[in-house]
Amino acid sequence: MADAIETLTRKDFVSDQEVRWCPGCGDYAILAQMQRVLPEMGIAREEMVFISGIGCSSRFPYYMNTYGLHTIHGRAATVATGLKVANPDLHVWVITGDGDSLSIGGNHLLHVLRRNVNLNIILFNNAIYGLTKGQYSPTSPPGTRTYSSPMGSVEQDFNAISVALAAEATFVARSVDRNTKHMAEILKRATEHRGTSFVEIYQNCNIYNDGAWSFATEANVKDDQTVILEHGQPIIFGKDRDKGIRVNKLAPEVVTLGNGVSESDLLAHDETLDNPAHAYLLSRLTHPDYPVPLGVFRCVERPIYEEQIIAQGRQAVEDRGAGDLNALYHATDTWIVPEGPDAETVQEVHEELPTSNIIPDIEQEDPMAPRTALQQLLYDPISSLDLPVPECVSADTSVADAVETMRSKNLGCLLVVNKRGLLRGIFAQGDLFEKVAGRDIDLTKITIDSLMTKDPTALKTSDPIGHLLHLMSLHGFRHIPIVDPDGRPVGLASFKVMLKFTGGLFSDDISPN
Amino acid sequence: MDLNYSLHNDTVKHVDLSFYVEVQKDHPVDQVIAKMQNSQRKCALVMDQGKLIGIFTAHDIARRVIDQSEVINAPIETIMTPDPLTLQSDTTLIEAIRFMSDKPHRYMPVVDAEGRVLGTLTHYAIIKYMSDHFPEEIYNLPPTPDHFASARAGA
Repeated sequence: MADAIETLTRKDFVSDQEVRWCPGCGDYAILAQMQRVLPEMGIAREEMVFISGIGCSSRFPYYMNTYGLHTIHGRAATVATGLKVANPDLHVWVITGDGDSLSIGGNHLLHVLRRNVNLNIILFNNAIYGLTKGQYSPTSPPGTRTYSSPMGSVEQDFNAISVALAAEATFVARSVDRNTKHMAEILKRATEHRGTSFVEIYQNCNIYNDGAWSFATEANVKDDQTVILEHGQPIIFGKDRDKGIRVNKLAPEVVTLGNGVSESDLLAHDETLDNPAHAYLLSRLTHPDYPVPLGVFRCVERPIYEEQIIAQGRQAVEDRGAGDLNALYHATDTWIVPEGPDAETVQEVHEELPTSNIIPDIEQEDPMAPRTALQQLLYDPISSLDLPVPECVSADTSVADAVETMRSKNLGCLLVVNKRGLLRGIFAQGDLFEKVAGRDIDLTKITIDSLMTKDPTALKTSDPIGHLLHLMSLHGFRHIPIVDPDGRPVGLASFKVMLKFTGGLFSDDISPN
Repeated sequence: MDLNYSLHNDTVKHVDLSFYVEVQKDHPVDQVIAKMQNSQRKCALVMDQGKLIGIFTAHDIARRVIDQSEVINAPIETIMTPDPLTLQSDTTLIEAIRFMSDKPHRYMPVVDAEGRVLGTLTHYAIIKYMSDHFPEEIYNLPPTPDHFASARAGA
């Protein structure tokens, strides 16, 4: 078998399918490099799967003589993740485009990257929707004129490398369709990486976005407008290799070597740094202000998703036996809908107690156990508090009379009720402080209706004390009316009531825990 | 965090004592009220040459100022509560809670051993301090108790 793998050639990976890309499309160059590189990787054809979403690039699997799945728009990464978990021995490539994985599939791209599934993602970036005939994409720069942005796109574009780094990718690289040698190296590196490898390839759509990457491909400019990243080497570029990138207070700057600037002043590339800040800084070198980096931005080791998932499954089986899915399905929360029109209710199935211990019951609570002080503070009903009976008045009470009532009875607030005794408002010293104090207002001429807080937040006696603390501490309510189920005030909770309750709740016999 | 342990070991210095303003004894009442309103503080400590001599609160406004317009231009020292009770800064919180729940005082100036004012202890600050021990049980509640899901399930 090993011999057979070694003798595979490019042709072995070429399928019999008619290639339907437009003549001159950059996709051909990527296909060619993939078919060139794979025979060198020592992987059997039948262990390879190419999975794509929707778009021009997503036709790729048809053209590879391997297993392939042409799946749902934006969801290639999810299908690939499932496949790797089900069969981790397969070598999986996700083939996608800027529309497929940065528009509709943006979410799925983020999560496959952070999970670090051991697969390779090749993003064909042509900065246009090609299959749908030329609308701007998430990587089209602002101002791009297309059929869907005739006056120029007004959208900030995505930087695919920055997105991948932000999503915690462990291998992030960029190449360009016309630099075939470089692309081949990057594809090899990506294949070798253990974990999710993310490769952005600048790919020319010669029909709808021709020349989008000419700065990186045209012979007369590319050496000055791109920089090849080499691990451990200072970042040098230019036709004469006389320019470099220096970092000045976290800002990159282009400098010319000589006149006191030496290679040791330049930023040296290190793709293995655990902190992604270096790679991110490089990803922000964009055309035309900087040379655009090509190569491996980041290559670090991290545990692999499917290996951990599978190990957990094995461990669970080891600890608890193989389990019975059927028993789990029927273990609990199942019911039978009775037959016939006369049946009134759904009968819950009680006789079958859980047969599985897969889901532990974490809310086991002994109802007979004495309640702790904390349980009382948080969960006991408000009825267990010693609440004063509120003073209730009608809304047409004058403020002068209300002030006198509060003064003579030494109250901090009055509740306002309607004729049926239902709570309608609360009138407190705070209202006087905020709305009356310092102003020249004749208190005999106004009613508390104009000053009170209407329809105040009230709780019922059966509500937990914790909710009082919630309202008091988050909203600062000093007084909270407690009402019966119809809405008639039966008590008045306050900061002071809570302090008194707390003071009595905790014994002085304490031990830290 | 164990609230019981904290209440017995933390002192009043450990809660937010910033809910007050300082005024001088000769400030007119209306200016003091304006200062309190602007800073949304219901407590003013009245100072004389750096020493605490009185306290004036929203409660006093409701009881002694609100319908007595003739006092509005008087100096605050004529209407304040003089020589207020204070708490020493090494008072534990459980002591402070028990003290304050037995007394009518909503605001208690906190002083150090030399008598310097460190701040004012308020009911609210204590409630907040307690709730901070249980963010999940207190802060992560639905707007009303009725919003609770009947079972821990969801789609």
